[in-house]
Amino acid sequence: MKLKQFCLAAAFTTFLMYFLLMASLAYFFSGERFWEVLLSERMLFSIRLSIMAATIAMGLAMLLAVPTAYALSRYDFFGKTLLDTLLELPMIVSPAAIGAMLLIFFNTPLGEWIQTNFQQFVFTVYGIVLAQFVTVAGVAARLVKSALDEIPPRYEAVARTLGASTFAAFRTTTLPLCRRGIFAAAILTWAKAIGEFGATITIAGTMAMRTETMPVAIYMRLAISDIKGAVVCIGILLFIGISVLYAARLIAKRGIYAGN
Amino acid sequence: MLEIKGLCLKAGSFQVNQISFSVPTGSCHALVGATGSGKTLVLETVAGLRKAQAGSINWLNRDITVLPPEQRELAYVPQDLALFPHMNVRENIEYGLRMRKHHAPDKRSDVEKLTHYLGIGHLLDRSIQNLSGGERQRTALARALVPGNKLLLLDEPFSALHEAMRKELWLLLKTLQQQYGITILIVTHDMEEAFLLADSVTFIARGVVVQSSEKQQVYSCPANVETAKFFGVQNLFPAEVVAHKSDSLALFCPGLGIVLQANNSDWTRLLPKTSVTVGIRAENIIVETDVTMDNARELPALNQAACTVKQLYQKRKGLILLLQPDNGDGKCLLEAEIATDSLGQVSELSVGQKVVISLPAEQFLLFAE
Repeated sequence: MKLKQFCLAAAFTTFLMYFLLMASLAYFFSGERFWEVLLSERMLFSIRLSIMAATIAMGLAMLLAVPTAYALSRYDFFGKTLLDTLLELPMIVSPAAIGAMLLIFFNTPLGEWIQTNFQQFVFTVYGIVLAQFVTVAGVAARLVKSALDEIPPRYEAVARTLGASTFAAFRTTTLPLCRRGIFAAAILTWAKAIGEFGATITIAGTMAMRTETMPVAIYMRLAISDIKGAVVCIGILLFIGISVLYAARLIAKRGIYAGN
Repeated sequence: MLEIKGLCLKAGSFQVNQISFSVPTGSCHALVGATGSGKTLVLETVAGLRKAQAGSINWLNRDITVLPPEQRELAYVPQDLALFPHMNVRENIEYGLRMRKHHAPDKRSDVEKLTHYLGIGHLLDRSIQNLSGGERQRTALARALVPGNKLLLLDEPFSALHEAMRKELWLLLKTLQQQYGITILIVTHDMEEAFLLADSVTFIARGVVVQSSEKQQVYSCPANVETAKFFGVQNLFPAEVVAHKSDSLALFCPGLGIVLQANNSDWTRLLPKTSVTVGIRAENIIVETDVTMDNARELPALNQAACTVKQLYQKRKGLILLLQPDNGDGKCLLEAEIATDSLGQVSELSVGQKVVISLPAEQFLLFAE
């Protein structure tokens, strides 16, 4: 078998695997149940909560990711390699472990002080946002760094000799040049946040109409053997996820300088 | 005047040490050296893009050593030009005005004047991606000069262009310099560029200044063998002082197998048995094809050697010969150049042909080890 045939076979096997998983949903799909579940107050709450929490978590993650990625992309500093490695922590550590670490943190004196004097996180919507934020912040920084690495620092250097301050040089050269990359990073971060389950359930629990995000809703419906209801939730989550990933792919394909 | 004194800086494991030179206002100074010699680091430090570890940079009697780039009031054109790809030509050129918040109408008319002068007035609304190499260079120059800065730092700006375009831009830059009274510091490894544009030259090797002087001085009296090689002295061969008089030296060159007579009074301090390197430019070697050593002895010229043509090839300005001295140690290969307009004076040359070369004593360069 030639290399090309081998690689194509591997690619189609991967595709087939995911296709079969998605197609199997059709076996339990019921049109009548779909509309009933979709339009139920509980499902609409889950969708709203998931979108809201993921959007806030993504926004916070991007606020931190852009300067973090900029520091990693442009400067040499003590501990850079360690920080760079830690960004991948959420990828290598189970989300349930991250959730557990958050719970443990809120049981330390500092965590208790924060919960008492600042904001209650455990078993609240704030906990969902925090769990999603902690899970996606590193990924967001990694994605933004990839986008920044593509832009030569020379543009900012020249901008500064032309009278721009450090921030103005970044704002007028690097930022517009990598805006597509940052936008694609934001979409992917949002997609990862909306699908987050392990950390969320550990810190926020499974309270219907309170902390029930879409992934939690799937879990709760499966727990009571409501397969058809779970299929509807999975379908909605799949639709949202695939749509945003496809949008991100289209944006990335247009290239960093396209459309300027 | 731009004055650089004792500049030291570090980039990774590479160190630039004690760089000092000055550039009078309105003149052009070339920083030359091989790739990796540190010349770009020096330029970037003057631009404020790198921090100096020691030393000072003064421009118009103002110490700019620790100022951020945006406060140095100088224009910088990097090797890759770094034109902003998301802006059109006009937006690139006016970038400096926007950042310095110059919105006065006279500044806008400066843009029109300069772009017209540079021949890019009709390209202002064009995208950067649709410019030719020469147009990009002109846009980069306009962008650097529009804010009105009088010190222009150029980092090998024309290296990517073909020869005709390069020459056109050299002349344009020269005229711009005179018209706008600009002081230029240019980094280049192109000798022709350095000599055409610059009034003075600093040669840097391994992060230190080897020679800094008027360009003619560097050309005619390179400080050492390395400088001589860089400035186009193709023939450098070892020799030993065998005798010295008040006004001349006798040098034995094993490579040529002859004793050369050099008559520069500056060298007469060299004692016998001193090892030296003799240099002579290819164009200064006289090649005679119609003489043999027997009748050459009767010629008045000294310093002659019989050679065999090992290789010859045509260059734009003349014919290049690689010659092996017949009586040498076999390790020496001389390069001689016969100008195109002198080719008629020698009979047709071919590989393996015997010729006699004359090495005029006044053209010798001598480097004591």
